[in-house]
Order: sequence, then C-alpha cells, then structure tokens
Amino acid sequence: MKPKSKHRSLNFPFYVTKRLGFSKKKYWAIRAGGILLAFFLAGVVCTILKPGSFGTFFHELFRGCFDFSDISTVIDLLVTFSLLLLIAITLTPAFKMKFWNIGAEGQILVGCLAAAGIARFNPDLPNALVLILALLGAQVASTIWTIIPAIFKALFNTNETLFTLMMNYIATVLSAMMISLWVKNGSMAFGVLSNGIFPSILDNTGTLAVILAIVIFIGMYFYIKMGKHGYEVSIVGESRDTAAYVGINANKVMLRTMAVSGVLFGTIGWLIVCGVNQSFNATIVGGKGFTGVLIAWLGHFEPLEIALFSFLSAVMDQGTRTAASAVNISSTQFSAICTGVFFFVIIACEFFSRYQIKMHHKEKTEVESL
Amino acid sequence: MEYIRLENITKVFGKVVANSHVSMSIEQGEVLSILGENGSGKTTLLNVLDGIYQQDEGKIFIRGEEVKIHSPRDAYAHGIGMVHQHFKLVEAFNAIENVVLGLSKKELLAIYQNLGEIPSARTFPRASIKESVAYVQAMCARYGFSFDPYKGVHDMSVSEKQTLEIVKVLFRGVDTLILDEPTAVLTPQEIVHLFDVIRNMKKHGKTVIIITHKLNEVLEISDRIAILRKGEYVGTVKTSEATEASLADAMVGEKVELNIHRSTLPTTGDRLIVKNLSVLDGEGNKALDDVTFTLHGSEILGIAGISGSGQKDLLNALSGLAHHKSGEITFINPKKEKPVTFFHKDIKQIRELAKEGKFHFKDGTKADLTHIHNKKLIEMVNNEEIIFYEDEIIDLTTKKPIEIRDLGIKLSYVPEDRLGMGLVADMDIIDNMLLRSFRKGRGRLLKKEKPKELAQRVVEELGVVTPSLNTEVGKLSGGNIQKILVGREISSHPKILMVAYPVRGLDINSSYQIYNLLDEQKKNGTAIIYVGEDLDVLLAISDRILVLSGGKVAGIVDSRTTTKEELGLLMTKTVRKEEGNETQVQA
Repeated sequence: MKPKSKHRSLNFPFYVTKRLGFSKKKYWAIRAGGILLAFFLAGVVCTILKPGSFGTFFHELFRGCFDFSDISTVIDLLVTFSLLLLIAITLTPAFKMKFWNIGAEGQILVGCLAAAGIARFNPDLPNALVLILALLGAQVASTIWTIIPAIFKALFNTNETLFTLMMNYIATVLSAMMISLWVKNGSMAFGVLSNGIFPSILDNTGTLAVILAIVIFIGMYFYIKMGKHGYEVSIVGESRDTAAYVGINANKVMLRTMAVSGVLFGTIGWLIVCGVNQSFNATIVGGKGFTGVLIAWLGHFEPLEIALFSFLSAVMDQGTRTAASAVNISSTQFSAICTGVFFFVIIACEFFSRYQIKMHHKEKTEVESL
Repeated sequence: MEYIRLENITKVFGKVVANSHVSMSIEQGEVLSILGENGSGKTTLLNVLDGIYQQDEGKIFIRGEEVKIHSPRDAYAHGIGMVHQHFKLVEAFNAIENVVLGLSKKELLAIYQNLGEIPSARTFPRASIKESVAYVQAMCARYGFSFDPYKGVHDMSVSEKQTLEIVKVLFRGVDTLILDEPTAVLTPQEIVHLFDVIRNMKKHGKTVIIITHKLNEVLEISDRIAILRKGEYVGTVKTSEATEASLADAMVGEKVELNIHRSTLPTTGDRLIVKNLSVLDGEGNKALDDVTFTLHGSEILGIAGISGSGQKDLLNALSGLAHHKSGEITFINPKKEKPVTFFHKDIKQIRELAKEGKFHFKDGTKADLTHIHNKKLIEMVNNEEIIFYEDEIIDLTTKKPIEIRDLGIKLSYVPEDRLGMGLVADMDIIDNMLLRSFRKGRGRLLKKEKPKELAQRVVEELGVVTPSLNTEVGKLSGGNIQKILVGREISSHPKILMVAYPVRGLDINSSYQIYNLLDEQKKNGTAIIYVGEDLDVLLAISDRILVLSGGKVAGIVDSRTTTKEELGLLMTKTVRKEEGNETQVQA
C-alpha cells in the first residue's frame, strides 16, 4: 500500500502561467483595445446614470478637451497633461532604482504650501522676486519631505512605501493647520494670491506652467536615458551587488536621486500654486500625485509611454468632467469613477499580456481512483 | 523488464522547447544516467516524471498502464520520488521533522505497515514524530545510512543534507529515485560514499535515475546511459559499450577535444601578497580565517573547497567589496623600468613619489624633481623621460573598488553571480560594456562610442551568438553571457584576474573556450585566481591549488603532482577535526 494523495487543497480549475515571446505589436494592440474599451465603459456608466446619454457623452467628452474655438479648454487639458507628465517622470528615477515612492502627493503639497506662504506674506515685493523666492522655498520644502524617507532607508533600512505613504497624511494635516493659522475667517482656503503669479500667455497663466513643465520633462528625458546619473540609477535598481561591484555607492545614489525628485516636486508645487491655481488649499494637488505613480508604472518608466498615458488620463479626467456637467450628473464623482475604470482596464491588459490563464486537464487522475 | 515508458514527451516554455518528442524507457532495478549538456532538457524531463511540470504532449506509462502525474504527491503514489539539485529542506527543522513533514497520520500509518514490524513499536501506533524515529532508523539500517534524527538541518554538511533528502524520499516508499546532479557539491570521498548508497539501493530492487553531465561518474555508476541533446532524445547506450569520448561526442553532436591546455611558464614575480587575511560575514562569524598566500604573475592559482568555505569572501575581500576585514593585502605593480604617466597619477603625486626616490631618468641618474617647474615636468612625463626605479608596492587592505581603480590597478573580477553582479540582465551588450568605464570622460552624459567598439570586438573575437549588440544580455544563453563578462574583464589587460566558477552552466565547447582564454591571459603575464568546483578541471588548468576549508587555508599544493583524493582530504580537513572534537565532548 502506498500513501495516497487525499488532500489536494486549493485546486482551482485553472492556473496562471507567464506568457513568453509575446510580440510588441500584439501587446500594443491589446493596450489600444483596452484604452478604447475604457472609454466605451465610461460611456456605459454615463448611460446608466442618465439613460440615453451615450452619444452626448462622447460628443461632450471630445468638446471638453479639443474645442479649439475656446483656447482655454485646450490649455486646461494641457495643464492637467503636463502636470501628470512631470509628476510621473519625476517619480521615474526613484522607481527605476526600486525605491517605491508613493508620497508624491504630499511631497508636492508641502512645496505648494511653501510657495503659497511666501507669496501670501510678501505682497509688496516685486512679482518676479517673489516668484523666485517661492520657487526656492518650494524646492527646499519638497526636498526635505522627499529625502527624509530616503535617509531613514539608508540608515535603518525602513520600508519606503509605508514611510512615503504616511508622509502624505502628515503633509495634508500640516497644510490644513497652516491654513487655519493663516486664514482667520475659517474658509480653509487662501483667497486668490495677489503677488507671485505667473504672467499670462494667451490670456492664461497656466500656459507658462505648461511650457516649463514640458521643458523640464525633456531635461529629465536626457537625465534618465542618456545621463551618467540615470545609468547609475538603473544599475542600483537592477542589483545592489552589481552596483558595489562597479564601485557605486548605492545609498549615495539613492539620496541623490531622491533629492533630485524633491527639487522637481517643489517645482511642480510652485507651478501649481503660482502658475495654475494662484491659490492654496490642502487638496490642491487633487490626487495627481497618486495618478502619477500609476502612470509611471503603466508607462514602464519609459518617458514616451509616460507621455502617452499622461495625455490619455488628462483627456479622461477633463472630458468626463465636461460630459458630466453637460448631462447634469455630479462631475467630480463621475470623473473619479471613469478614471478608476480607465486604470482598471489598463492594468487588466497589463496582466493578461504578461500572463495567461490555462485550464487544468479535465479528466480525473487515476491516482484518486486507485 | 520495461518499467516506466515515456512516450513523445514535449514540454514548451514560451518559445523555448525544453523537451521535444522524447520517447524512452526505464527498466526496473537499473541505474540509469540521463546525460546531456546544460540546457539539454534533462531536469525538465524528469520534473515532468515527478509531476512538477505537466507535459504539453505525450504520455507516461508505468508497467504498461498510462498514468497522469499532476504533482509530486501523485508521483509518490506511483512510487517515484526526486531529490532536487537545490535541496528542499526546512533549515530550522531537524532531520526527522523534515522526513515526516507533510505526511498525514493515515499516510504515516500506511508507511509503517509497508516497512514491516518494528519490535519496539506498540500495537496501536499513534504516528507521533517520536515513534517515526524508530521506523526511519530501521529503514536507514537496511540501506546503510548513518542518520541522526535530531540533528538540525542548519548544522548539516551538504552531504548530510543530501542523505536526508534521500531518506525522506525512500521513507515515502518509492521504487524509483531520481537524483538531480547529485555529485555537483560533493567531495571525492563523499561521491564514493554516495555511489555505495546508490549500489545498495539497487541491491534492494530500487530503480535509480541520475541526472548528470559528468562523464567519468556516468561510466562508474550506471548500467545504461540515456543521452539528451538540445531537448531531443539521442539514444540509450549500455555503459559497458561507452567511452568518455563517445559519450561527449554524442552529447555535443560533433567531435570534441577534451584536453585542457596548460602552458608551463616561468612565473613573473610576486603580484599579490596576502597576509593573515580574515573577513567577518554579516553575522560576525569568520568567513575567512587567517589566510596567507602569494600570487605570482603568469600563473593560475586554483581555489578548491566545499561550497561556502570562504571562496566568495576571499575574492570579495581582494576586490575591495568586503567590509569587515583584517590582515594585509599588498599589490605589487610591475612598474620597474616603465615610464610614469598621467593616466593615474597627477603632478602632486609624482612629486611626492620622486621625493621618496621612486624614479630615475633615462640615463639612470636618480630623478630629483624639486627644482623642475610644472610645465617642464608635464613635458618630461609626456615624453616618458621619468622612469620607475622599482615596482610599485600598494597596500590594498582598506581600499574600496573605486579607489583600487583610481590607483590604476588593473584588477578584473568575473564573479560567480554573472547576471546579479557582473552584468545587468536588462541592459544590452553595449551598456554592459559601459559598466566598468561609464565614469570616464567629462560631462553628465554617457559616451557610448568606445563601449560599442569593445562590444563589437568581444562579440567577434569570442564568437558570441547574439541577434545584435542591442540585445539584452539576460536574453542570451549562459555561455554567451559568460563570454561577454569575461571579454569585458580581460579587455583592460588585467594584472590580476579573478574568476569564480567561470564555466558553471556552460556547454562543453564554451567551457573549453574559456579555459583557453585563461591560458592566453596567463601567457600575457596575468596573475589568475580560479575558483572552481570541478576538481578534474582545477587539476588540469591551475599551476598551484589553494584548498580552503571552513575559511582557513588547508594547504597549497602543486597541481602537477597532487591527486584528486588528496584535494578531497584537504577540503574536509578542519571540518573533520571539529566533528572529532564534538564526539569527544559527547563521550
């Protein structure tokens, strides 16, 4: 008599295996299909909420983003696009290093806080000087916020994911506290800033922010793809042993990379406060810090793919907002649902292009019948 | 009598066909060797038989009946058990706990019944761990294993762990035992013992299948030899009708030359002097203990030892990667009669060295540079007028890798972990060539022209098979990966070259190519440290062999006069002593 296999626990009728040798063409076809599906599903959600609005939804979605007769819609779209783009590309070096920074939201927020504070309390200085001071202040604040988790990781090997996540909440509470200290009427938001604002181009202060963001993006492209720093970051991310072998101090590279991220997050905060909103409140970043994490990851840390997903996600955000107000449903919530659907579908595509599901052979094994 | 038959077994991983329509049979009570190069699909085929993988096509028959094996548990039910190359034991458990791990009470009782009466056992067995000890020991006595049921796995030697794996499988009542590369990590004496065990199992009617690529062992132990090549079944031969040469030809598919060329050269002076080197590992234990040796130019110093005897720590310490070390490492840079250059020395350093009397002029007079202006000095250096009076002696003890490089010491290192340390799997060949030199040049951007030339040269000269220079090295085969790594490391014309297990996982032809490259380097005057596991190769390629045992130098021998058995004894020298002490304490 032989021991029989009696307990075959967790026997699902299927198993998941890795796909190998999946062609790039097929991969992008699946992704393109996924993107179309996401927009289609957004339309379906809209129709469920407001029956008969399917056609209107797509019409309004398009109008809300690409209405060239009203240049401000296009600039608004570009502002969302360029901010997402910049956030995602700023996160990229850290991610390449396998430093999972999910604290962009808070890191940008403290930059916003510093920029707004400097602008608010210096109403009499020349605008250009206040802009420079606000930029520097924001960069210092964000760098401190960004480098603290890196220092702890270098010294005590703390988990950067949890650390940076917690720092988000601290940043939010800190902002709320500073607002309640500074704004005595209890409105929890600054009034419109009177000093330290970007000059208008095409009748919009956001235009300059878009231009600056894209210039910085191009700089980051070279930094990551062709620079010695970017190369070191890739090595550290791939293997710390390799880094040591070629004489790279991994901790030094980590701190340096996070400092670079911090400076850029500060710059982003400055762009948001002085360029786009001219105001400040504790939710001013609006989740872009988190969306940026998703975009960087879905773009495989490749600058051009990141640009594509930033654009699509900006279209989804702004288009669904416009469509929602056109058919009279809550625009913020609807837009959030659609963004959720969008990323869900894209991530599913990602999964199914890397893995496949196979069914087990149906027939019972003879072992069990023995 | 035909016992197990594999019919048309095909197993595909993505685009890689690991086994293609393999049909073969295994006879009851035989010792069958599955022979093939790395990557020929040996392990995959037997993993299918063991239920770890499911075949994509084909059938398995046992005693003429078709069976489906979906898991190792199914395999056990059919009397098939496998001992994997990388042992699957729970380190924190002791031997007996590992043996009974995963068996239900019912299964244990069935095993007891199967093993027969044990005099001391109770009438109503309770299937406790304590009780199973008696049964396991009775079984071990039958096969002649020495078995300590309460010894922790973490305290065991590799050989003891292997024995435990075999006991674990036999205890489950298997008739067929599959051993995957069982001799890879054993000393010659342990191999002799293992072969005795295998013969003993055969005597008790067990069928033993051995996966291996070592020709001499195949000839010694097996009854028949099945040969796989590139996933396909070539054929089965009787051992009595085979020779090493015929087997090698069948494995590779063409005639192969099995001689390692070793040039006999006069050594060119001391290159590296290591004195009382000790290294602490992460837990504060001595990974290297008081190691002393001298390495000469134009020689290959082999390093032998059981795996984990401090080989890696030695190479890491010499290349500046170890953190906690004591002792002395001195590098002797062969600079005598060579001009000083600005390559790694600046004016200030040259002036200081001149004060110490390190230089002389071409006419032989001592170089006094104190009254020479910088401008004139630069000119003289560029004209190669200032000559080293003697070899440069550099203390490396506390130097980090980057400092060693900045000192202009050409020390190359081919580490054991090729893709995790020596190369970056996700980068292409050009970027991997850049690893050692990316800091060169001013500016913040990388310069890729020279690495590209180097990549081109390595690919051409070493015959690397790759679709292009922009292919990620992780996608290449083991042999090609190693050629890229070795090619990069020897491209700097190193004074010292350290290689760790340079042919592990490589096919026969690539291996011999690497051996030849090392011999070429030796002819160029390079001092080479070769850490190896195959003692036959170590004896054939090195000039001297340093044997490490438990982090200590057990001996340095001349490889032209020593034997494999002698090396085996040295490898276990200190371990034996410790065991002896322990028994005394227990007694």
